[in-house]
Amino acid sequence: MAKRILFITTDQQRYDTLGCNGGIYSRTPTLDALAASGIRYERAHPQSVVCMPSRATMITGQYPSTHGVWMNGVSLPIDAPSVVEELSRAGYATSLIGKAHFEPYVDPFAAFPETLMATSQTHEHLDPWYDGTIGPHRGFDYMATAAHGSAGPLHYSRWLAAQHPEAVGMFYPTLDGNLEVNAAGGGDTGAVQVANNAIPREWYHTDWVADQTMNWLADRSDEEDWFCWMSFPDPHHPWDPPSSELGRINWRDIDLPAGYIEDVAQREAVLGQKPRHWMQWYEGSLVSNFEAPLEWVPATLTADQLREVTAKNAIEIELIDEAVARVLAQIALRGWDDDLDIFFTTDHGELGGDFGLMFKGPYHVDGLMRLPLIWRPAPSRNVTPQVVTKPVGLIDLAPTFLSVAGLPDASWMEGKSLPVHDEDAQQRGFDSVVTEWDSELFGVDVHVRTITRDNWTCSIYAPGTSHGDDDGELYNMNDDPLQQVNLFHDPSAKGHRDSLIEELRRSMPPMRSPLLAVVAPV
Amino acid sequence: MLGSVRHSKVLAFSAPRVWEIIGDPADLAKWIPDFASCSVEGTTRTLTTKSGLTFDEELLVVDPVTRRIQYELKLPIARFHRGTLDVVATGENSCVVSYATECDPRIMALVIGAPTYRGLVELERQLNEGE
Repeated sequence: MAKRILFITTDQQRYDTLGCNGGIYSRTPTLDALAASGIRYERAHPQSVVCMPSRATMITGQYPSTHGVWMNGVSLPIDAPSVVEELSRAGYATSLIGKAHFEPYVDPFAAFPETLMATSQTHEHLDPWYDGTIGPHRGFDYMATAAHGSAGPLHYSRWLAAQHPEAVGMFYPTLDGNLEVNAAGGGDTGAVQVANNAIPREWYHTDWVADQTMNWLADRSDEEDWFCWMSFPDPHHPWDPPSSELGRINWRDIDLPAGYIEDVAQREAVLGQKPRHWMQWYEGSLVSNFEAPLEWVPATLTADQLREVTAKNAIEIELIDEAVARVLAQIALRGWDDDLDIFFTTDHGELGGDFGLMFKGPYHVDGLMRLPLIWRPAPSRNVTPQVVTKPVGLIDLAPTFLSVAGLPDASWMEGKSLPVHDEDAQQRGFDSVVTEWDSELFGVDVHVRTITRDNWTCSIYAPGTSHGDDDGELYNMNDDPLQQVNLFHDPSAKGHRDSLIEELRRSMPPMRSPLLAVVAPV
Repeated sequence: MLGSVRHSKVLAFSAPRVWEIIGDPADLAKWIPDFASCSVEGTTRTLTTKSGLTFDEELLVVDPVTRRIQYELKLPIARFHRGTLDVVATGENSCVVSYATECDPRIMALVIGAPTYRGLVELERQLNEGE
């Protein structure tokens, strides 16, 4: 009996965008069905709220402080430990199809294997593993890479340029001519990072990822163990799904998200209670990180622009759900489903209009930290469907893959195999989850550590451009699920705050030294 | 504002020994792995990357006494660029090598600075292995 693991990820997807998590905009029947027959996690957090560190955590099972990818633009060392190497060593056929991003995208010197494979139109690259073994890159026998559009050297871009060159210019350009995140408006409302994209759906990267996955699966034998990481670049901005799909959701009919405070004075009062960089970004006086458009001022976001962004984001999620359905149908036809473990998650969230903000950055609130996570264990193991409310992290994925494969724990992993129900979580100490942020970009630095436990979230800041050592955030998510009331300096919450900070300081892994170099913006 | 990036290495080798490897601007491709070839004619240095890009740089300073090399990259995408390589002795058998990149647009400082970082890593490897 073969063992099979399908690891599905998206990029920058909020918890509340799936129907099974209470989402109201997208129809996600395929993912909802996986949740209904498996384990749905209600409090899954990333260990970083940006792509490269978070993806490095997924593959290593380590905190950013340990694996060393402390911000976007830092490459995961080629010989970093990888759970996929362990699976490969155990005989699994392994693939990553879609967005990898363990290495920088902006790589004109083709210094990294992800670029090299795509530019040479190959799908494998031999590299040293953490133990000195020479094997396929990070353990993947096959890689076919994609990002958020037609730009760059990845496999999807090359395929599109070769097969459908007329479509290359249809995407919104994620970066502008200065390589900054583009602030140009588009679509119907002039919203930032939005465009009406004339590309036919079947050429769009979501369907391409599903097609490539199905091609790879078609080559697998019934006896083969396999691990496939199917990694969709959406619903990360730009929000430019194929125009043919826009009729699914009319942005004019969209109710504004709950976290968007329509009253400007009230919104600014909420932002004013938070550490200074929140308001500085909102009003356009400081963009602390690369991941938000430098020239975009969040205070200019209109309600209609947010409606359009929300609608296009929701359409992208529906396309992902349908792409997953196609892949699962192929798997069912092969008769493999009974022995297939399926995981679905994303690398980090999206502010999505909360507090009048979009994109991501050093803002450790649910929009960015609370992620969809579903594990549908192989039906042959007869696992009872569950909802786990205890906190877990993406750091727990890699140990879970080993556990599913029946392989021993890896000493270098810092997470634990995901709990299968709350009692299991309680017994194995799933009490809290930690998220890190560090960034240093052209004279601006931000350093945040956050712990979530017992429905409280507490963030502490190290001194930096906008922060002193008494800055912090504390939210009681039972009373304040939208995290609008910062209790960090509230005397009545001092006990909770001090207890959380004590546990956070005890939990924080030491920062790798020396720091790995930032060699690209992203 | 320009973007500014500085990479550096503290090396347990004398400044003259390090300068032997990196002090000739025509030798750049011998220690920065991103480059396939490098040649100098007058004050113009021509580089070809392993990814196939070719571009020119204008050498501004080549000073073996202060152990400094400065140059400007000539590329349409960089409205301004200056690279500065310094070797500073910190002892008889120790030095700091600093490689700075200033650029407009600012993000290009990160991009152009990336090979300088990889060069310092390679430089340290060559010194340690006695190449």
